[in-house]
Amino acid sequence: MNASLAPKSLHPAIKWMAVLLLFYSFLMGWLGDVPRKVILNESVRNLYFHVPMWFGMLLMLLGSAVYSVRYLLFQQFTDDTQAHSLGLVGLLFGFLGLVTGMVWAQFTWGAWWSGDPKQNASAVGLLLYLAYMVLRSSFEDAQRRARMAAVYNVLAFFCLIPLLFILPRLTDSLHPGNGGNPGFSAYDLDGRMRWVFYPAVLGWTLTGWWLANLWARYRTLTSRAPLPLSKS
Amino acid sequence: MKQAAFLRRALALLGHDARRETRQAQALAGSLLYLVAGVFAAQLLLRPVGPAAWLTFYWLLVLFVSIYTVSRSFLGQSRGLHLYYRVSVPGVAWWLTKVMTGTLMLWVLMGFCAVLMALWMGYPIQDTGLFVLTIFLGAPMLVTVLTLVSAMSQGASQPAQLMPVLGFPLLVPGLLLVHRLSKLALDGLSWDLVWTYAGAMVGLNLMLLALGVLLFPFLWRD
Repeated sequence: MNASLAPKSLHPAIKWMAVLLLFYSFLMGWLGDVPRKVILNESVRNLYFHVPMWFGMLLMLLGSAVYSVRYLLFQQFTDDTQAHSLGLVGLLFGFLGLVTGMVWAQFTWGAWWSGDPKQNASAVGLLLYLAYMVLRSSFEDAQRRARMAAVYNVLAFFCLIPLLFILPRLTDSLHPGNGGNPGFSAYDLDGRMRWVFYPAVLGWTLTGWWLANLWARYRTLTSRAPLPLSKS
Repeated sequence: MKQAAFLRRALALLGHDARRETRQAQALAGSLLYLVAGVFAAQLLLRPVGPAAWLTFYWLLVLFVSIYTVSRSFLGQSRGLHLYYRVSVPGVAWWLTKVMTGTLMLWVLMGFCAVLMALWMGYPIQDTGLFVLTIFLGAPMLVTVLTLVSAMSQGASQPAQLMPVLGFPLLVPGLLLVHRLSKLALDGLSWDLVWTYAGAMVGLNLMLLALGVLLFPFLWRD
C-alpha cells in the first residue's frame, strides 16, 4: 500500500562507491604509512575514522534538519520519515565518533573522559537527538508527532552549531585547532594523509546516506497505517 | 481599515493576557516558594559553600525554577481561553507576550534566588554589576527555549516529563555561557572577556528569538 510512497533505492554506483571508499580508508588506515607526530604517534590513524564519522554525523543531521523544514513547509510524511531516519543515522555516527574519540583520548590525553569542551559538546549533541527520539515516541497522532518533531529538529540543529563550533573556540580545549593547539591542516594533514582522509569522509557520508535510505524505505513499507499523501 | 481594528484588538488582548499573567500572584508565589524550599534544601546539603559550589547551586536552582514557572504558565491555561486566543491573535504575538512576561518573572526570580542564597550560603560574588548583567541576558534565553519546548510538549502523553528531557540539552549552550559570565563576576576580574561572552549571549538570544518567531506558528496550530 505504501510502496509508491517509499523513497527510491539509491543508485548502485553510490553503494559501490561507499563500500570501496570505506574499504580503501580502512586498508590505508591500518596498513598505510602515517607521519609520526609527538604525542599522537601511530594513533593519528584515528584521523581516518573519528573525524570522518563526525563529518558524516554533521551531514546526516543537516539533512535531517532540511527534511524537517521541508515537512513544515509541505506536510509530506515522506519528508518526516527521511528526517527521522537521517536523525537515527546521525545519532549512530555521533555515538561511534564519541567512542572513537574516547579511545583516542585515553591514549593521547590520558583519560577516557577529559572534560574537554568539544567532548562535552558532542555528548550534549547526542543528548539533543536522543531527546528528539523521545519526543517522537511521546505522540500518538502521526501529524502532531511529525510537526512537533520537525520544529524540535530545527531548534536542536541550530543549538548544535554554536555548541560544537563556537563554544569550544571561546574556551580552552585539548582538541587540535582550539585553545592554542595548532589546527589539523597545519600540523597533521601533510600531503599523504589527505589522500585517505577525504575519501574516508566521502565514504562515511555515502554509507550514512545509504543506511538512512534503507531505514526510511523499510519504515514506509512496513508501517501499518496508510500514510496520507498530503495534507487534505 | 480592518487591519487597524484587528491590530487594536490584538494589542488589547495581549495587554489583557499580560495583566492576567502578572496578576496571577499565585503563579509567582508558587515559584518563589519553590526557590525558598530549593535554596533551603541546598544549604542543608553542603556546609560551608565554596564559591564554585555557590554558582553551581545557583544555576541549577534557576534552571529548575524556570522549567517549573514556564510549564505552569502554559499548562495552567484552560482550553477555552486557549481557543479564544488562537482565533483572535496571531501566534507569534502571543508567544512574544509569553516571552516578555516570562522574562520579567524570571528576572525577579533570579534576583530573589541570589538574595536567598546570600542569606543562607553567603555571597561570594565580587562584581555584582556583572552578575546583574548575567541575569539580564540569561532570563530571555531560558524563557524562549522553555516556552517553545512547552508548546511542543502540549499534545504529548506526558507533557511534564517531556519538558525537562527536551529542555535540558537545548539549554546547555546558553547555560555554559551564563555560567562563564557569572564565574567572571564571582572572581571580579577585568571586563576583557566579558564582551566575548556577553556578545555570544546576545547572539544566542537573538537567534533563539528569530527561530521562535519562525517556528512558533507551526506549534500554534493545535
